[in-house]
Amino acid sequence: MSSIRFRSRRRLFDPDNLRAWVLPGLLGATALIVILVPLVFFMARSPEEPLPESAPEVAALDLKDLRKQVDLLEGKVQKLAERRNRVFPPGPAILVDTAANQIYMIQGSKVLVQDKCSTGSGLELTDTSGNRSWTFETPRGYFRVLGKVSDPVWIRPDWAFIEEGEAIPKDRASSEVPDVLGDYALAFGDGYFIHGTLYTRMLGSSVTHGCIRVDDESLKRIYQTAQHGTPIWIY
Amino acid sequence: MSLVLTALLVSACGSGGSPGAGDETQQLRKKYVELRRAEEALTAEYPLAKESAPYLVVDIPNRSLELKARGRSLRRFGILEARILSGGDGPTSVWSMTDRRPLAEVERPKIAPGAGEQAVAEAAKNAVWGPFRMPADFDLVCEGGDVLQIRALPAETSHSAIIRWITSAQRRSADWFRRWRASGKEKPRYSIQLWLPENDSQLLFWSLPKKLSILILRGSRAESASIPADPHVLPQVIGR
Repeated sequence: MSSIRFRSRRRLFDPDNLRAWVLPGLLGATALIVILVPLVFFMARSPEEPLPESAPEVAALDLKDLRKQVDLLEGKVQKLAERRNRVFPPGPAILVDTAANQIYMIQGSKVLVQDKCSTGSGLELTDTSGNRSWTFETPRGYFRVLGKVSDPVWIRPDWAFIEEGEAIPKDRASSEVPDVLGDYALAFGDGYFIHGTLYTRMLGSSVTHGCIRVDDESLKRIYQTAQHGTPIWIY
Repeated sequence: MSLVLTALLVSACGSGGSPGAGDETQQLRKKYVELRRAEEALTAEYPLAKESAPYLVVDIPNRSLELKARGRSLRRFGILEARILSGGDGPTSVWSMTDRRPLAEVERPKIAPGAGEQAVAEAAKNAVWGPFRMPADFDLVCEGGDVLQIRALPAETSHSAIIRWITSAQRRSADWFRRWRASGKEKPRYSIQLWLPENDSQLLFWSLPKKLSILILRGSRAESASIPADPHVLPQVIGR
């Protein structure tokens, strides 16, 4: 039995045999590609779009009335657009582009401040027991300035000790660290702040624990212009 | 001969005046349809723009996708392809997104306890996290089971043409296979599929808040209309 198998294997890799099946194999594969690829595109194509029906309410109108209707509608659309454009608050607003790590303070169409910032690193930390974990991400969406603090003191959360491999102190006083958040901080909820930084060379990168770090000079201008309730959009 | 010419002239005038007038009628009708679409879009957008939360405008005829806040565009993307997979309720509708479901989970980079903040900052600086790590194919699941499927094709500048073509074919066939496998299951009430360039779809995922209103403007490409945009230009990253 084994000699028969050996012989058949030898025949398969025989150079003459190779020539015999390589060419049909290649032709077969080419034919398969030629058939399959258009088939895939045919199956995945966008369905044919129907043409729009012309507005039946104006189909019977003569040119003069049609012009009048179009003028009326044009005016209406203009008013609707103006109404929509008035919705944006006239006062200052803060925008944070987390992909570009840029912060803007605008008022109407004026850009009051535009600068680099640092936003959440996206990293995940789990404590040694495996019971608690934190994701260092800047939240997206709409927020408001909820508080303004000058000379802020950082109260180190538990993750800051775990990250450094230190024991979590029992008393609050041991968690307080002055002079690391810059001169000002603006709270926007859930412990997130726009604040200053010692790590200015990191500005423009996603390196924070979720807060938004800004250069001292820009932070001062933002702090001075922003009020309680100033809108913040983070995207 | 003169009788024939007169008859032709009369018939031309009788059928709506000069040929130019006929063209104008057609143009005005087209403009009317466009203005009606713009009117519908602006009317539908207003209640969303009045709220402070960002919202998404999916303009299928114009093949555009905009993340907006208070009427102003924060990000704008072009849609490569759009198709309505199920349902179809009028020219405009508003969906409420409740969940973002990536087709493949993205694993976050981890920090070891005791690594120290400086080490963490260095790790983060080495570009381990960003829009480029986001899923490119995902579903935006909305109240009532409506689904907005976002699917990605390679961006124009990403690879050579042949690689793009092969990748596109592979992704389209994978999507077709997924839909074929799901065909036996209960379909969502309304389901729309949008194909975006890969980096745009990742940036969209990156930018979305947890909850979001989505304004869907339906219609064919032929119904595209220029909807007046807010003239105030926000400093923004369009696409990436």
